[in-house]
Amino acid sequence: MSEQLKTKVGLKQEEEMIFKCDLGQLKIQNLYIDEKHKQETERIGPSPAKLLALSVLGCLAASFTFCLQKKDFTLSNLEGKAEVTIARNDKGFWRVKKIDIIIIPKVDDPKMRKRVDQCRKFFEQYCIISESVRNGIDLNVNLEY
Amino acid sequence: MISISNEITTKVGIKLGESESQMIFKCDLGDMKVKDCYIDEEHHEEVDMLGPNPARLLALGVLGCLSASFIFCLKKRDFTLDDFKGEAEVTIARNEKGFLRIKKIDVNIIPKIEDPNAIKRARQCLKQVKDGGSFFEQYCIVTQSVRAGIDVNVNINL
Repeated sequence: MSEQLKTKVGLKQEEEMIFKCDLGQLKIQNLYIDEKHKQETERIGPSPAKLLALSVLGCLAASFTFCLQKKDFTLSNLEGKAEVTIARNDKGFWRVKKIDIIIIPKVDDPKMRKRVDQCRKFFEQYCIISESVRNGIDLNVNLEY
Repeated sequence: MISISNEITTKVGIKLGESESQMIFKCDLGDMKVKDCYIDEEHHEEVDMLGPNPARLLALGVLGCLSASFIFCLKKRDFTLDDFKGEAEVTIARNEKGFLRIKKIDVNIIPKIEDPNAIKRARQCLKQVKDGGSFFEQYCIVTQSVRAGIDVNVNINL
């Protein structure tokens, strides 16, 4: 049988449209999924669409830093942004249409810049999430350095 | 969220965390009341992890969205649940080129409903539609969007 990894999560309803995540033994106090509040300042946790965006963004950022680490480069700073566009499909249902991603590593050393130029060509293939959801969602990935 | 005509956009961000690790990121969730959100790709043991890894975040996105859609379907007829929980298991496997990819997500939704009328409504929410899947699943933005690339199996224990 081919190699397989499994990972589990759970949730419980806290109140209508707010769910408390079960992340096993992780060192994290509380994570909620909040589909109740509409105003950002009132929300006690991300929506599922934001979780998806964080998943794709986090995975791409880790794949990128992994590519640099392979040649022993360490970043002093990195920022990432993701914008999700949700639109109605031809049947009128809301769907995630695209996710625009920008990864901004701080590159000040010419040797590192050369490595970043190389990584840019292939780091996305190492991201488990982005390459799995791409069939249904347009992902635009930009690296700014 | 900003709504422009028939589109909604929503934003998130991350920053490299304060630790020496290059694999721990701090989430930027804007003005939300969320203190610490980290994405941890550094630690492999659950007890050491400061936050979920991207695969767990994706599973939470799919599970949270399906749970909200199911409850939404009940609420439409003013029914509420006595209790509710859900589980998701992600299977990651290598594709034909040798890269690890999300192969499937098995979702188990466990509502506790005592009221016979609410059970009746729940069964309506589970009715199969032409395109496959249950009626309520059509309202789940995240799950239906990732299904083109990932098998999502939804099971409801009524």
